[in-house]
Amino acid sequence: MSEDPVTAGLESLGLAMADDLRLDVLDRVGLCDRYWVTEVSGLRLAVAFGDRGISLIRGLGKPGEFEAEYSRRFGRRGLRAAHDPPPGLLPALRSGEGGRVSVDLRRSSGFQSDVLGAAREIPAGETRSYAWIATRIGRPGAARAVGRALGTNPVPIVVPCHRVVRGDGDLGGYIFGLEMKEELLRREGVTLDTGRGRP
Amino acid sequence: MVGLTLDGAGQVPGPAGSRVTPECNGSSTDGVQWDVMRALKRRLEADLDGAFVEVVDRYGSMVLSVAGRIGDPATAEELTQETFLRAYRALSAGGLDLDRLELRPWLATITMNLVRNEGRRRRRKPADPLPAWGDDRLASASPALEDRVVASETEQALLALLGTLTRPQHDAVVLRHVVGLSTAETAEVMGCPPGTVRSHLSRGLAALRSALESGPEEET
Repeated sequence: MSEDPVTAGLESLGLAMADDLRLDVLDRVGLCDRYWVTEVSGLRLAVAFGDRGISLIRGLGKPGEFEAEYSRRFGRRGLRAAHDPPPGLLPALRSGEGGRVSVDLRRSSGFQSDVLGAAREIPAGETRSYAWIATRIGRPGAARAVGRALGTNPVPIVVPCHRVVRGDGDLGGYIFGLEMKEELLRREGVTLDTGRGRP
Repeated sequence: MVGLTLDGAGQVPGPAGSRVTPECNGSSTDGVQWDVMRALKRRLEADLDGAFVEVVDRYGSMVLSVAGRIGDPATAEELTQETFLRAYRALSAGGLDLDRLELRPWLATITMNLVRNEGRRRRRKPADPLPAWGDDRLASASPALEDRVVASETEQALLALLGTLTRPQHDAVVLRHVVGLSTAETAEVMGCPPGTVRSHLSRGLAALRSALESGPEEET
């Protein structure tokens, strides 16, 4: 009975949803975000965005790495290449003025959102200290936690965490490495006086 | 106009249409544990967007099979998208009693309604070109799907034989044995009592068997 060729044959007529169709479905429903690949000061960046704004910016690493981080943060939503960059992204990356670009920080904690919001207020060409941010968000003394929150900034450059440095003038850390932090600050006209072996 | 409009909600059946049929052997759930389904429904309530991706992953192939094996394979992918869009809108509109909603037959019913509307639309305007969905991906996707759907001569023969069954026999056999719904779910989707489904099934299968036996033997 279980080896009935007719029912076995019928069973094999079932269709399987391919990845492309899965993305089409998620896209149609509005559960598929886009990514755009661009370059800033020699660094290749992948930028994910949806209806609510830019949700993730990371250096373009090995194939699948960006998608993996994206699904860690946002679950198994779809992600597919965009036809166009998100509005305002390219000028923002060029000028460092990311203030008008929408960002989607729903997956950030309340604390991290506050930290990122404060970092967004720092104008291009200026820097502030971790302690300044901590005070700004009403958590004086939380400078270390501010550093950690900035270290996992989902949307660096657009939220200019590179403008946050240590109170003693040391640059602190940066998600894309210190060289990139220096480069971003330098092109905004910040005079770097960090004693890092520069003249 | 009854066409395939995007306003969805009006054609999405509610759980009120689902019948509990304890006389049917086997449960009307889809072979997964009750608590797994309950957990998924709870996630749908708490985080529709996140949980809906799970619904798509779990039922995508089922919906595609209904669309492509009851209806035209050329429009199956489009109807699959449309099914999930309507389901998503119905869920986000609220008002569905999730505790009573059986996701699998519910989704299959939405797909069946779309397949029927599509058939009606085509019969009304047979000279019409394929619907302009505003997306040229369909055109490029369809041949690939049709390649996949016709995998072997045996399957092709079976598909041809399915086409000779009466409409209710065809639908019952496809929903039960190709899509893999239970008899109770098949009855719910077809809108008829389970006893009627069983009779369609036995007649349909008998017709397929005798046609296969009398036809040329095909060994693979």
